Amino acid sequence: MLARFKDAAMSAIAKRSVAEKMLADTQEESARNNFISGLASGPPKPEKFPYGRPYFLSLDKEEVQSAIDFGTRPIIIPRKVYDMPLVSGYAECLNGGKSSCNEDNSYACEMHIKPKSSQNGKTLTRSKTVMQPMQEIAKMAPCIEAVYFGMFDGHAGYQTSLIVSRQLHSILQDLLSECVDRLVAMRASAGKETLETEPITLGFSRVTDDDLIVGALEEAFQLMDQRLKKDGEKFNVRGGCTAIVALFVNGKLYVANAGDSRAVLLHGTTVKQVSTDFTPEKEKQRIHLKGFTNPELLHNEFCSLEFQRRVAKSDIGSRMLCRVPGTTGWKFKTIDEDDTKFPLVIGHGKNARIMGTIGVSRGLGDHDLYIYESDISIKPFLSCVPEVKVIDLREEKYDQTDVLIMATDGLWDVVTNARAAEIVRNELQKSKELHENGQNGPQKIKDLEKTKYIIAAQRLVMEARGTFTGQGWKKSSGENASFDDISTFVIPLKKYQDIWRNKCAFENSIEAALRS
Amino acid sequence: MSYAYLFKYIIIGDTGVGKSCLLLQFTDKRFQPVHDLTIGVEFGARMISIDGKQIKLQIWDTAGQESFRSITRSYYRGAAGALLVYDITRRDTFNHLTTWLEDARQHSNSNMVIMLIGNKSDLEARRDVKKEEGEAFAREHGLIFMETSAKTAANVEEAFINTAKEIYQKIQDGVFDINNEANGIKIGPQHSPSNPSMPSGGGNAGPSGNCC
Repeated sequence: MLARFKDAAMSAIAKRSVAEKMLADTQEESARNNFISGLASGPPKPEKFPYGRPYFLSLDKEEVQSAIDFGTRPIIIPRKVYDMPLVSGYAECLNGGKSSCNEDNSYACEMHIKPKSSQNGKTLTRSKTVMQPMQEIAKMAPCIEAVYFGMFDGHAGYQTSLIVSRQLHSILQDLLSECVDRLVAMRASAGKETLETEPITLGFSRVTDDDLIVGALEEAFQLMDQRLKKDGEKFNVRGGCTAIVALFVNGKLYVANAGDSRAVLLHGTTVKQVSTDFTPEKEKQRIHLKGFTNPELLHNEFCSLEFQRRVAKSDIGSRMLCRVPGTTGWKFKTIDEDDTKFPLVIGHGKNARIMGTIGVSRGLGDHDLYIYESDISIKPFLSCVPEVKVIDLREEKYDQTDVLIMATDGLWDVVTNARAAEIVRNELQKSKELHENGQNGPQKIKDLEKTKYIIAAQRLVMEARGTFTGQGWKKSSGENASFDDISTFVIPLKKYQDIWRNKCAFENSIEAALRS
Repeated sequence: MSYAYLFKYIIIGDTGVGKSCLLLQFTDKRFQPVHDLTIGVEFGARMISIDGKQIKLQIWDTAGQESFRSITRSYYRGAAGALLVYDITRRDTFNHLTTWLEDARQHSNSNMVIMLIGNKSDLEARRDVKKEEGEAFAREHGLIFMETSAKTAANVEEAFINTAKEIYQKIQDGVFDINNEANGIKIGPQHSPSNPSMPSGGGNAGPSGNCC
């Protein structure tokens, strides 16, 4: 991701003052170092966390250092398979030398969400209740189980993605615990004619459990972003990160995304992208509207109108097609001096930039992101609010080859959704066949069961990283491989569904026992 | 701990020949009879002393299974030494040495020191490959050779250390360009004129106790 900042600083071409400042320092190194720190000064602040990798990789200090090998770019996978929730797969590999370490980070955990008031009290969980009388169980506080996967692609340093990977889940868990009573009641009353609790109504529409979970995810991202700002006062918190979270709860999957990482769901023969890549181009309208309604943020340097093409000085007085933020259609406008200012969003596709600087439009952190040697802050144009997509898994029929792939742009820049699906399916199909042909001993099958999703994740990273040739890193097809950090989860959907169904069956049996 | 040189090793050979056990015996001085299949890459490290100089060995243990070959191949690059391991009780693992050697020669730097290891020497009763055959193969291909037992630790120290001595000798002879890290040799921090700023390593924080 860092390369995007650098490119932006170098490639932004304009005759105006900001652009001149941006181009003034052509020494890459100093640009890289100064760009993000903006106006910050004073003695260096301590780091909140020392550099580290996800806990489920079980790497010690020595191994963390060994993995920082830009020449070989080792693909690192979890060592203890059962550390991974849902026996999911994970693999990562660091960049080809564009930053000092791996700026991606990830987290995965099971959550037992209890009401805040009963955090220390007894709760209804499977293991503890076996020997207890039903009446005792009925008195216990409700508990909801969830599984969390988070992936964070840092830029301009590893600190932000590291902090977020270690804190976002607990912020989310706190928020969910505040509405767990409601969620349990809603789950219990689902499918029944009479409601056991008063529904929450908002005007004419009911507030559903989806609304509460989406709300918790959105708020968690916002609180995390605020906390990063606060951290920045005490610690060296440079740069920012994208954030994508997959939360399995109440039989559904919630994918919350703020950035350009991506989640893709494989089901049967279908391949469905379940997140949006938030690039400046994708969010041009939101960004332009922000500048249009808050012109002071533009510092008289940028133009928030959209034109059919880049406006030049020579266009002044002529008529060009223009779109005013907040509207969808196009109209003719006579060009004046103001319209020739630097466009707020410039470039296309992966090369689009906000204020010629950052190539991703949503994410966390970046509170210190200013245009080089200026006091123009870019943060107001970045959104920390995720888009949350809800996928109902309860009635679907899943096979062990049906998975959610979640990966940073290090993978998706060079591997299409279809190709990723092909690689994962090939790998999982292989182990399915070994399973079925019956010639393998129980130990071998057990080994395969444990590791197949990890091996699939490793294959994905291998495809994106490629191998080193005289011409740099190349994919097996000969095309350019990724020079970026690459991280991938491969999460089996059936595994979650089984757990969810077992839990439902267990609760129903308790209910039945209590009634009789 | 500071060191004069760091040598990077890679351990290769068929699945089940005892690569991970050799590494564990060398780094932790213990033997684990049942070992999970290595499917990725594992790192090990140990300090040794040659000629009064502290040398850090950083060892990459790879997956031996055929299906992981392309990934394993990508780790040859940047290794100063390789331990090529076969199992003296399984002839097929000896027969595959040529393929491994071709792979290694093709994907590594030409100065890489290769130590051929016939492992499981404690299982004399089940021996399937004669020691002389191993010696002949090593002679023919210009490798150093030893028979080891990861179980009894016989010759394990020697295998790793002799490889290092060979690399060290090559450095003395000026064969290795020690300033090129692609050769698998790094000069220790206190010997290096400029110390590139690397993040100060830090382990991992477990799922608990890592939050505010």
